[in-house]
Amino acid sequence: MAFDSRSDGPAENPYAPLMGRTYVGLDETGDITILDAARVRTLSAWVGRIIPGNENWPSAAELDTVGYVDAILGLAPELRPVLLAGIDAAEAIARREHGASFSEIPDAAKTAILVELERVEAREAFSVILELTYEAYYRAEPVLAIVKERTGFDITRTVQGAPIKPFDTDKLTRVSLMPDRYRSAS
Amino acid sequence: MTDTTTTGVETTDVLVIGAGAAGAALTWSLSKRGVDVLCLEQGDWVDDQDIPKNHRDWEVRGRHYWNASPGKRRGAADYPVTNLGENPVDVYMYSSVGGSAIGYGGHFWRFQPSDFVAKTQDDFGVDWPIRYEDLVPYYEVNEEQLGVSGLGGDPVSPHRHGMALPPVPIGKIGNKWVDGFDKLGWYYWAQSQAILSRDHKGRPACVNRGFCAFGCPSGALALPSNTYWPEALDAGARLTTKARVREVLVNDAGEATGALYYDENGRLREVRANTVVICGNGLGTPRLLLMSKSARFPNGLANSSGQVGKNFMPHVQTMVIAHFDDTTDADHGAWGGTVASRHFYETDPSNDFKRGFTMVAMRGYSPLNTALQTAPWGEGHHDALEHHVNHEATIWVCGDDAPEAHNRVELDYDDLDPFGLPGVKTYYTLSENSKKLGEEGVRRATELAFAAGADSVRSPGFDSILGWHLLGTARMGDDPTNSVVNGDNRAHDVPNLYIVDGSSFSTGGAVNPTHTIQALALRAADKIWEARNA
Repeated sequence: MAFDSRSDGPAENPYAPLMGRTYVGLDETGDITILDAARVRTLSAWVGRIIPGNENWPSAAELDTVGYVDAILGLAPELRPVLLAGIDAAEAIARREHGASFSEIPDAAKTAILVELERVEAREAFSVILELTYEAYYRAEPVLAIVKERTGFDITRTVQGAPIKPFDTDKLTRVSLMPDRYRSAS
Repeated sequence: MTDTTTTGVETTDVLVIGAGAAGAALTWSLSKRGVDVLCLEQGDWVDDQDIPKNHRDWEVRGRHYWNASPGKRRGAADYPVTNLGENPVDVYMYSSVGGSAIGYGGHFWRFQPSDFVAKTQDDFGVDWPIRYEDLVPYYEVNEEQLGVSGLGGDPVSPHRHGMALPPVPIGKIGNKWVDGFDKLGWYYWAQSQAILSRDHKGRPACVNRGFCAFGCPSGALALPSNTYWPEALDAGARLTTKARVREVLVNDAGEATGALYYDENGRLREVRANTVVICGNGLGTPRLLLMSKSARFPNGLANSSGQVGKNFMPHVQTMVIAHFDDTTDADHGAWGGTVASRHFYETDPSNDFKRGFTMVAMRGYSPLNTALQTAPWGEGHHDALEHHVNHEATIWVCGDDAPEAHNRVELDYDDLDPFGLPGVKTYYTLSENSKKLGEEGVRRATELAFAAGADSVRSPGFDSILGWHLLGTARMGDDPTNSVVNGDNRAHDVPNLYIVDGSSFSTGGAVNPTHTIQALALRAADKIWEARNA
């Protein structure tokens, strides 16, 4: 829906029709079962540039983001060709342009490759990995703690509630004194 | 449609198809009078553990199995929906006991008197065959039954009518909106909501978890499943879930005799009934009518007018999201609305468009949704997130859109459901009137945002229309040549078939429709009762 969608994703999002059956519980990520070790390294470097860390925030690579993507792939084999090809494309470009693995090149070079992937080379894979990275990141407890610390938004309130003072209806006095404002049907 | 072998035949007096807002209210009303009612629902009860807001990762759950879009959710009870046109509607709906209300925010409005006579007063759309006063007794029953919170005295409400319970708290952001409205001198009032501000009929008061569309763990949000259904079942109504109706059956006299449906094991079953009521929503109802072709009704059941599926009205909807330097307490408080304005509701002759819109002053978004909307990937991600999260609040704009034949729903035989039944295609293009009305809505909402202290705004515009309100596709009218049901919600073509949901709206008004859908359902129950006792 409008309030959970990216505004600049590709026209065809292969993840969209699979979302209903790809929920992964917080305790359902663990051993990597789909991705091989080389692709894990590439993907980890990739998600680390999608959401990099700084002095306040962890990078997505420091969390279980790759495990989350791997678990999603386990539930949705249809995504494998798209995502694996995207990961392989990142690796191929890195080796062609820098003579090294994607995970080993400087961050700026990684970012430049991801820009290329997003624009041309692997639009769909990039979009899917971005959405999964965001999902994994913002459900992680360490991140939610920082969200609370840095913005004041406390996820605990959204599941437990919090008191709010009753509506001071005296505020409506001005309007209540205004004339009726509706048209009758007769 | 060709028949196949059926497994067993059930009988009932009244068969209701769909256990959502309308089906629940109508079943309750009839079953309390001792009528034998069987309701078939293609979805199921919502398990408490599946309510996203019972979990800290509710945002992710809300994007997956709870996703409001059937095209993304694709659950066992869903059918395919493809959205087309120049302004495709992002259709939101659920198949469940409670229907799409399980994902609503609880805005609970009555229509205005002028909504029923837009043709006469404004040469806009068509008139309804009933008037506001016809629904008042049913609005009142519904407000008491659900425990609607609000406040009497609103000069924009006819006779400044009251509500069952006091208004819900508005909090810090609500007070900002109040300041904004007062600066502008506009009309506004406490938002009436189907959310308990006090304990009511065994349900506890809201504790301000917010983000109500992701499920209400306590039941403070009024749903068919925690209001009408428990009482209806106690009164003897029967409810069969995971029952996908394939076809409404008719006899040679053109009367409805029941329905064929697939049970949870995929077996085809038949129900025979004296009266059939379809409550399938603005997409599901025309879908079922168009699937129910027969020699007598070759263009679909109750479709001699050709109006079934036409006049699709989702409202002219968008949002203006305001940014404040101060925090907005976005993590608690009923999400649906704080205060709301119908200052621009009626036609203003000085405008270059007819009819008007509502503005609902709401709260802000949560971290994941904010990140997806506003935070770019890369180095700027965290700064953007910190800028937006807990510093925003939303004004939702909802405008009246006229019924137009080219805005429609059709069967889609290229995309079938798991039972081989057709999906649905929707077509929607904003009219020139709607575009002008929508632009004015955004302009006024932006004015309000800055008056309330915002330093910037953003809006998704109208490229994709928010699709909670599915209206008009089996509309009500006096003339059988251009409408599907009469003023009693009874099909012109089939004397014992009733259609009660958003599809029967002649025009859509400019407010959330659930209250009016349920008022129509309660009234239709009376009409069914009166017809059989005449």
